[in-house]
This record gives sequence, C-alpha cells and structure tokens, in this order.
Amino acid sequence: MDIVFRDVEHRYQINTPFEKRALYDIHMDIRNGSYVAVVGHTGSGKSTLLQHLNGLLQPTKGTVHLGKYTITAGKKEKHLKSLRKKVGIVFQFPEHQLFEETVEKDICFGPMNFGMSEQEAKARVGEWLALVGLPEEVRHKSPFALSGGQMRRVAIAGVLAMNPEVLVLDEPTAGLDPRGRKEMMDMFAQLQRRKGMTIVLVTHSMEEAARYADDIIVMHQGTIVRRGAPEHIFRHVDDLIGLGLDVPETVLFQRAIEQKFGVQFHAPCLTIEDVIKNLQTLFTRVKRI
Amino acid sequence: MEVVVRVENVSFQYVNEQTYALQNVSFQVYKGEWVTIVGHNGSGKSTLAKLLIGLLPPTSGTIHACGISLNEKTVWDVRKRLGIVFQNPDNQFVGTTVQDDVAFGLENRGVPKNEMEKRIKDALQKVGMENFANDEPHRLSGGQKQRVAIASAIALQPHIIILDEATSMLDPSGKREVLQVIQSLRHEHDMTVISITHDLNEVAKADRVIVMNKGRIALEGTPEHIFAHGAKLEEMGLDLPFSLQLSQRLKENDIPITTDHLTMEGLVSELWTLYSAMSNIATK
Repeated sequence: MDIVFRDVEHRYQINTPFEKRALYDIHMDIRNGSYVAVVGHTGSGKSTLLQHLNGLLQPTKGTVHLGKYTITAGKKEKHLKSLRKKVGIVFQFPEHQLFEETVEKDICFGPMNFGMSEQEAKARVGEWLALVGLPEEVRHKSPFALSGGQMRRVAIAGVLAMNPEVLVLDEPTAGLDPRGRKEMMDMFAQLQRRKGMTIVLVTHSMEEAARYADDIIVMHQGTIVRRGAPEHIFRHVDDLIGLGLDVPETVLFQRAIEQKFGVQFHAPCLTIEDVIKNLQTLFTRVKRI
Repeated sequence: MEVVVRVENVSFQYVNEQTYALQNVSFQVYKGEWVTIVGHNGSGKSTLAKLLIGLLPPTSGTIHACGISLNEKTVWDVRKRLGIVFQNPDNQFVGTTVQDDVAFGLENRGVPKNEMEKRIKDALQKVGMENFANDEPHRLSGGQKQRVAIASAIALQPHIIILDEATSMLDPSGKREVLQVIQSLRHEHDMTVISITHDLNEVAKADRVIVMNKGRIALEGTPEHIFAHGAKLEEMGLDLPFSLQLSQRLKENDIPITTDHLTMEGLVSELWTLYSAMSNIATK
C-alpha cells in the first residue's frame, strides 16, 4: 500500500497545560514495496510519526492515507482493525510483549485475534519460525526460556504472522550484538525483496540506514528536514552533523581521504567495499603515471 | 591501587537450565577505573551485572564490593554505594514527574530536603534534562528517559556506577554526551565505572576491557590488546573497529598497509605515505 501524509500535525494532550506539539508540517510519500529509514535525534518525533502508520495515533491536523484507508484529523475512523492487520508495528524491545506459555501460542495469538482458525495458525507456525530464522525446536518452549535475541525473533514472528503489507520497525536491533544485528537486518531486507513488503525502519544507526534503505527521511524537532536516497543524504555531511546525527564511518573516512589527498570521489561511500574500490582506483592511477 | 570490586571464582546457574551462565569468573576492578565488559548476547554479561548488585546470588564463589562481602545481609549496604542504569528505561521509572523520579532514590536514603533539591537540579542539568523537571516520564522519548534514569543514578553519588547497555537507546550525540557526563563525574568524585556494552567507541575509551564468551572471561586487557585479537573477536560474534577492518581488507586487496590501525587518522596517514612514495617512484 502507498502511504501518503499531507500536512500532518500531532499535539499531545491537546487543550491541557501539558499540550505539546510533537509533529508538524509532515508531507511524506512512501511507495508500496520500498524500504524507508527514518532517522533523527532523540525526541525528534520519529516514534510519534510511526504510530500514525496504523492509526494508533491520529493526526490533530492534516490527513494520513494508507492504501485505501484515510485518517483525517477530527474524524472518527471505524476501520482501524483491518488497517492494523495490514500494517504491523514492531515496537522497541518487542520481547517485553511476549506473554504466552509457549512460542507457538504466542505467535498464533495475533492471527487468531484477526480471525484465523487455531488449526490453520498452528499449521503455519513452522513457516513463520523459518521466516525469522528460528529452529522448529523452540515451538513448544516457553518464550521466556530463550535468549534476548531469540525472544525478539519470536515477537517479530508474531507480527509477521498477520501477513502485513507494511512492516514498521522501531529500533529493531537495539541491544543485539553485532552478529545478531546483521542477521536481523538481512532478514528484513529479504522480506522486502521476496514478499514485496514495505519496510519503514526507525534507527539511530546511520550504517544501517545507508546500507539497507532506498530512501532516508531525516526528522528534526518534529518535522521532516531532509529526504532522499542515501547517496544524496550522505553528500551533505556537515549538514547531518549539525542536526546532531552521525555519519557512517565509511563516509567519514572518505572525507578524511579526500581532504588529505586533495581528491573527490564521485559518490558517497556507503559500504566498506565502496571505500576499497575508490582507494584501488586512486592507487592504480598513481601506478600508471 | 585500591580494589573496589573483587570477583572470585564466581559461577552461576539459572534454575532449570543445564548449563552455567557464568563459570569460574574472577576479576578485580580498581578505584576510579573504567572497565568495559563486552560479549555477544547470552555470553553472561548481564547476569554478571545482576550478580554485582546482588539481584542474583552466585551459585558459587564470592563478590566483594567496596570492601564488603556481598550476601543477603549486606546487599542493602552494598547497594548504597552502587548505581546501576539498565538498557530499557521504561522498567525503571517510579515517579510521576521527572524530578520526583530522581528524588525517589534520594528520599529512600534520607537525604535532607535542601541537599536533595540541589542534587536533583544538578543531576538533571548534567544530563541536559533540566527543562523537563516537571514533565511526566512516560511522555518523554526513549533517549530522554534514559538520560533521566542516568540522572537518578548519579544523583545518589555512587562510588561505582554500572551501565548495563545504558546508552544503546541513545542517538550518537546523546551517547557521547552521556559518556562525557559519566567521565567527568568519574574524575570529580573518583567514581568507578563498569560498563557493559556493544558499542566499540565505548570500548575504545575504557582503561581495561573484559571480553566474555560462553560464561567465561575470554580476554582481558587494554583496548589495543583486545583488538589485536581481531579474528578471535569476530569468531565470538563481535565487531571490530572500522579502521581495523578496513586495514585488513585493504591488505587483501593489494594495498600494502603494514599495520592494523585502530584509528582513522593512523590509517589515512599510512595510506598517504604509501601513495606519496608510489607517486615519487612513478614520476622518476
């Protein structure tokens, strides 16, 4: 489903002394099947933004179009349940939401809540476990007997079991070790490629945004300040640093080389392979002089 | 140097688990030191943190903190001297406002009102949250909550602060700020820091690093010493600093770097030397 935000604003606790504007002037288009990363400083409004993606929060001004659903400020929306089946949100630390006695029961809870029969749900647990890279053996274990990384996978399997069209991920790799992070990120990339899922990733890691996203949205103090492909976003290094964001180490290294050597690479280096290729070109050129 | 934490032959087994989460772990931490504990998920790092603050008792072995042998009777005495910040701040809020939350620990310890007000203000200022003193904690963003949790810990002026992946939810600049705050407190109050983390920048800043693997100490030493065991760290599922990775990859790709660099400056400078030498030869 295509996602379109038009002039969206969100104020918390409106008409109270605690009223706070968390989002404003949000115009955003997310194409069906694309992979978008949302980055920004702590408190920039990223989490508020993503809660608008399945109607958990409704705009206090403007309109959110999610496929055939339209959520307009001030109007009561009736079809949120079917919308929520199509947009799966994986919150921060989703493993804290696990509650059932077995992994199987926990994963089946969501789809059964949306009307799938117990028999069908159970029959498909194997498929969902495989999707998140968990072995069949964990099916009858208590989710609480698993490691943190495995628990997180169970929670994600529970969201995937509802077969969403859009998968929204809020810092899905926080607290995982480097290997766990990479496995998790590769899994989401595969879901996008193989199942055509739209992925919206909220992250602090510029490395992840650079490596995996088609498009990056930069939030600052409640609104979108930059938007574009990684190659575009990481051309403006000082700009990002000014917004309190990090730059991928590959880009920082590139900048150090460019300054020292008095050269300019034609595009930002988003991976270590890009860096190596550019350095090889540089060194081959000197050999040929 | 004064030893503030002494862990001797500690093993720990969770109920209903076949394997030990920690096995024969021994180490010491000196006063004012910054020790970082790293390891993959499930390596026993967080279990160790829980043992250090007496949330779990060791199955065997002993722990001394600030000269006190840690056991059921002394646990409250020991905790007065410790501050801990966990990964997920949502699990550690009790107050209805940010300042109430910071006050909670101080009230528990019977700190006089005047002193308390001063410490709350001071702690919130140090983490950059002074403008949020009357906000409700659950309305804050994840990173802001974590700063409040850190403020609550430092307001108690602990001898030892334990950070259990405490900065993992912060953005990079937030991370740097918080680490600076803790660094300066460490110097001002001679505080000891034990930090459990995956963050390589944090590892590089430590005085000493302990690498955990499968419940045991796999490596121990300065950051330089630890990173010299590149392949071994990768086997354990850990990352290497970017400059080190790139140094190794460049060698494989016929750019003859001679050292594995821990810093970007070092690598850039060697590349420049190499490049200059090559262009001199080429022009002659």
